[in-house]
Amino acid sequence: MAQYVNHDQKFGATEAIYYPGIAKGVALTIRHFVVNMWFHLMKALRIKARPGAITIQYPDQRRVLPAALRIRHRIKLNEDGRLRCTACMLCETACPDNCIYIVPMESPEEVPEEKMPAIFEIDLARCCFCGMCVEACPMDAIHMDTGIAEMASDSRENLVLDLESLLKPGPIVCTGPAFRGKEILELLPHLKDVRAMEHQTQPEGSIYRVGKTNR
Amino acid sequence: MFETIASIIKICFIVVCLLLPMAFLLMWAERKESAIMQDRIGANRASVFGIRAWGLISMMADAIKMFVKEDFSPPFANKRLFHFAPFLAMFAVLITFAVIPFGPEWTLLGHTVKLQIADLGVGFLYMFALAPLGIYAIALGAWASNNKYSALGGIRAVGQLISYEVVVGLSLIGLVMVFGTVQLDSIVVQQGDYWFNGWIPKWGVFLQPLGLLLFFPAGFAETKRVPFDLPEGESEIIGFNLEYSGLKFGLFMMSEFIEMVILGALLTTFFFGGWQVPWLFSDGFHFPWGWDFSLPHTAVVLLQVMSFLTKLVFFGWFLQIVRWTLPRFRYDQLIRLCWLYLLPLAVLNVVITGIVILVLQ
Ligand code: SF4
Ligand code: SF4
Repeated sequence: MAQYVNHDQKFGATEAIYYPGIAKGVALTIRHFVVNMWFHLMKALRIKARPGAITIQYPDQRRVLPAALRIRHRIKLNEDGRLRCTACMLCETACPDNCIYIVPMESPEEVPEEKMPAIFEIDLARCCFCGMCVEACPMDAIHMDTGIAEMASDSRENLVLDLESLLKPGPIVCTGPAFRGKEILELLPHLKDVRAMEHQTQPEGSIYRVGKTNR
Repeated sequence: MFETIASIIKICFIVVCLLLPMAFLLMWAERKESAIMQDRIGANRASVFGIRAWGLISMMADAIKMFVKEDFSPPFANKRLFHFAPFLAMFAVLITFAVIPFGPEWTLLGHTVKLQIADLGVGFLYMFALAPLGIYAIALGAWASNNKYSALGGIRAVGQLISYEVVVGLSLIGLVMVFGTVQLDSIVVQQGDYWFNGWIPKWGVFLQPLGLLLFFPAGFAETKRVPFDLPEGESEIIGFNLEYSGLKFGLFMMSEFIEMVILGALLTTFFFGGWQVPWLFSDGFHFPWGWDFSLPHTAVVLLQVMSFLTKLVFFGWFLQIVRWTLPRFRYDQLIRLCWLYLLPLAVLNVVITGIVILVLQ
């Protein structure tokens, strides 16, 4: 039995005898039932009407995400297809969760920028999606606008985004036995039309093509 | 001989065609109806060959899951009682239906068949003697699982059910006084009378409005459904069936849903005219505004059975609505509601009914 209950609360006459209050509540739910049932019926009869429920049936339907949503990161390329990131380490410094890990290296001769990252990793398991890294970046290289909310995985390692997956944003890959040998798009076909999936492609054979880091 | 065969057929009809499907449909309605009244869609993902059948397939998947799940019994439990309790619960609810008339007398090939399994002279008492067997089931199950939380849940359950059993009985006494019989069939037959030159049927709801208002919450409490679901309180306070899993839990759940059907049947029988259809007499419709349709005997019987089933379905729907509208009572509120409000009002109802009957004589 609850110990601290406000027993001083006074009920009006209609509340004290329960029935009118209950009738009011029941009338409300019946109204919802009848109205929604009507629209379900309309749908069953193929008559155009508003849907009977506000449910978004997730894997089949996808909610339109707000444009300003901060979600899975990506790294942008510039107009020439080069990495925008110059490994200035500002994002790593700004990150409150220490989840960015950068190893810089000198760029090849023909590149105007002096440095580029050899390793660039973001650990989503630690990230709090604050967006500080985006704010900090002077080169406008790091963005959080992929619109990909599918960030669950079956191991912590898979949650570390390396440079490759930052350049080609897609859903996080799972590597457990249930997922072996399956394409992620096979498992989550609805992701085909997520807006950032075809966002950028690096030219084949580009010297800026970054291989999988092997840390 | 004919009697026996008829009884067996009636029992099969009641259990296989009425109670189990109704309980199954109520479980389905529990999900879909609650979803619809909360602007959701409800269970609809399970499918067989792409057919989803509005979530009915989900229910079947659920039933299969219930059958094949591990049936665990706790190591220190009293095994015999532990296994016995769910069957007792099921038995108690199934046996109660025996006295409920679901149709009038049907003359078939020269034989008269009562559409009621057992037309006991003491039907009313039989019901209130056997329905509380379910309380034993709960108490035994809770105690036999040898778990403190189960035992506490069992104590809560027994406290609640016994308290409300008193109100259920007392709130119907007025009705019994009005009809002057404890035979359920005769109560239903008497509800075929009319007032005001045949405009208003003499249903229990018009004779005993206060009785209905008392019986409804008390009966609801007996079914252990949400505003009164303290025996289970599955999400927070953990109830008597904590240690049950698999099929035995399924039996408890099923018995609860059948209890809802029975509550619907009792409400129908006592307060809403049982199998009576307004203005349908044994030879057809006679409306008070002067229209007459004569119908063959079999059609009348079928219409009346349909009327009973329709009322049953309606009450199933309505009980779900109430269950998904109201939050749970606190235990002190629950007991106070019973002993301080419902019980005195039930006694008052008996007194008023007595006075009115005396004055009218
Ligand atoms: S969003 Fe915040 S926590 Fe995540 S990587 Fe950027 S700065 Fe770090
Ligand atoms: S702040 Fe921008 S440019 Fe600097 S290391 Fe981070 S992503 Fe690269």
